[in-house]
Amino acid sequence: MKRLAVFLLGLASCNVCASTSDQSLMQACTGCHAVRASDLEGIGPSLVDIVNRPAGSLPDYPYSKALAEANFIWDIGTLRVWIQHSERMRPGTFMRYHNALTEAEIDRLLNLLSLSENILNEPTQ
Amino acid sequence: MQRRPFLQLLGMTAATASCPLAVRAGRGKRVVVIGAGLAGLSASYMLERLGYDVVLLEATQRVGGRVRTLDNIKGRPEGGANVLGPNYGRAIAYAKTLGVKLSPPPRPRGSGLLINSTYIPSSDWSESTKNILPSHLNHWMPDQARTLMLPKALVGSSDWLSADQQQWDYSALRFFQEQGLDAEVLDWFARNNSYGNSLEDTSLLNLMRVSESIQTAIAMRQPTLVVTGGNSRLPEAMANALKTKIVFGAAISEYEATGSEAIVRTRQGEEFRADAVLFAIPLTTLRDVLFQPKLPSLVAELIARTHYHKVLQSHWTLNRDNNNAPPTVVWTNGPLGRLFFNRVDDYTVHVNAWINGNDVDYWRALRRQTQRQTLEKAMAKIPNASGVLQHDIDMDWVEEPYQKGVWASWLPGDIKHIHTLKHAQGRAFFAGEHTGASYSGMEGALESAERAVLQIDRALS
Repeated sequence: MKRLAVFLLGLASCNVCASTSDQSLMQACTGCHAVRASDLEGIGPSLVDIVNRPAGSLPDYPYSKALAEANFIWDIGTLRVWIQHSERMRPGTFMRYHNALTEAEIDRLLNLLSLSENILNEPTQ
Repeated sequence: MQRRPFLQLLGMTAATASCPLAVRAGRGKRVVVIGAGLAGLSASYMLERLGYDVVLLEATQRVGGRVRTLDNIKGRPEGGANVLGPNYGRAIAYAKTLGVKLSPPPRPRGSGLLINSTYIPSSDWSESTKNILPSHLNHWMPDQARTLMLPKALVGSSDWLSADQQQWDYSALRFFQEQGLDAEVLDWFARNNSYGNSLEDTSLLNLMRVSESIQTAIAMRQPTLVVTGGNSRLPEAMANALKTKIVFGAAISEYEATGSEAIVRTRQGEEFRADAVLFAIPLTTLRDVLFQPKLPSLVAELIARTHYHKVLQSHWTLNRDNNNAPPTVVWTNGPLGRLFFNRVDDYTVHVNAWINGNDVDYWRALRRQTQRQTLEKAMAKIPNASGVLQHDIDMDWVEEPYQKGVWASWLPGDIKHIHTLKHAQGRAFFAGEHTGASYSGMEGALESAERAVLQIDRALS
């Protein structure tokens, strides 16, 4: 019964669905970050509404000094540099990440992150 | 527990929960994953979520690979992977998602050193006449002093792989000799070194990588973690979360790729066909697989020549008539390696003599009676460590047929080549801690699985 409900809700909300290739791109983030409000908290800060959020600004998240003292906004440009090499962009960050995505895949991933409200959020009951 | 509804409710991915009609990249495609260690389990889990049909083959009769809780010994000590770093995001996420509890390990009760049969509590070490470390480092333990002497050239976690750091990829023995260290200090630095079977075979760059990694973890000021009830509970939970039923006892001897598919054959002659094969096994086991077509010669040579680090843990139970606590760890410059003491109950202490590198060969050649006498002699010097010793098991990783060591220990000069080990070769893909970039150990295995799944999805979708 519950599965049927999930299925029907899915139908209702799925005007534009993340394809599974998109899902495999998102796995570059989801190991450590929540990407939807309903996700379990990861060790990294939530990426829900990440675009246009000031860096290091989530209340109660234990940021590294490198990000707590950062003075910039997460936009497509800064996020791209971050994904390419977070530890060179802000030495001392706790995010240990070695990028395996191509430039084109990073573009698609950034698009997914910026559209997260529309595409990734689960339907509310 | 019903698996699929459980995972759907937890909703780890958007697409499977809310997009049931979306075309799945993996639909109709089959991937054979070889090795049910953390890398193979994690890759299988992710591939299934992407819609692939997964067949997971495991040579032994258990999951977890080098994660191995010794459940039959009092106190359930870890025989393999020990602790999760506070930055092991993927491992922590799996635990959370699958309902596996994590907790900080017991608080350390102090430590000491046993040097040529003299016991020195750490608190007295800097003043001890046995301490011949360079004076600016003499308030540190030998392992810490070795780390502090390393060049500090790495900033990012994967910088060790970049071309401009390869100048450091030479023998750690040469480096420490150039620092003008006394022969005895060089011997201390060779002992209990987890990254080479001898100091000569240890890459300086690899030591620098480990040091960078530890420094970042410390900077987080968060506790390390262990799995409540034993680290093996994590891979077991990952295995239970799979749709596929793991095929145990399937040791792969051959891989063959044709234009349209890949075939793997077990030693028993069983055959599995797939669109892609993921080898999530150590190089020591990959070595035994015959590839058709052949792997590029550099890759084949790296697989053949890379050393695996030798570890033998000699596990004992100490039965005592008092409940005073021995120190948590005693560093020795002798064949016993490091002695770890873990209190099981008031009158029982678990003792693990953790022996590294070429000292393993020495220990293995001793008769059990001589091993016991060696340990008893050492224990007599250590406070609150007297009692009756009972031998439990020797967890000898070198003798394990599908591991033959604990992790890849890159020979000096090889790090510039090792990126080739994660290249796809036709329908063959590769994962495992030895292909980790920003992480080693358990998290390195999970990191590698994520990268390999991306490669497979690129190739097949």
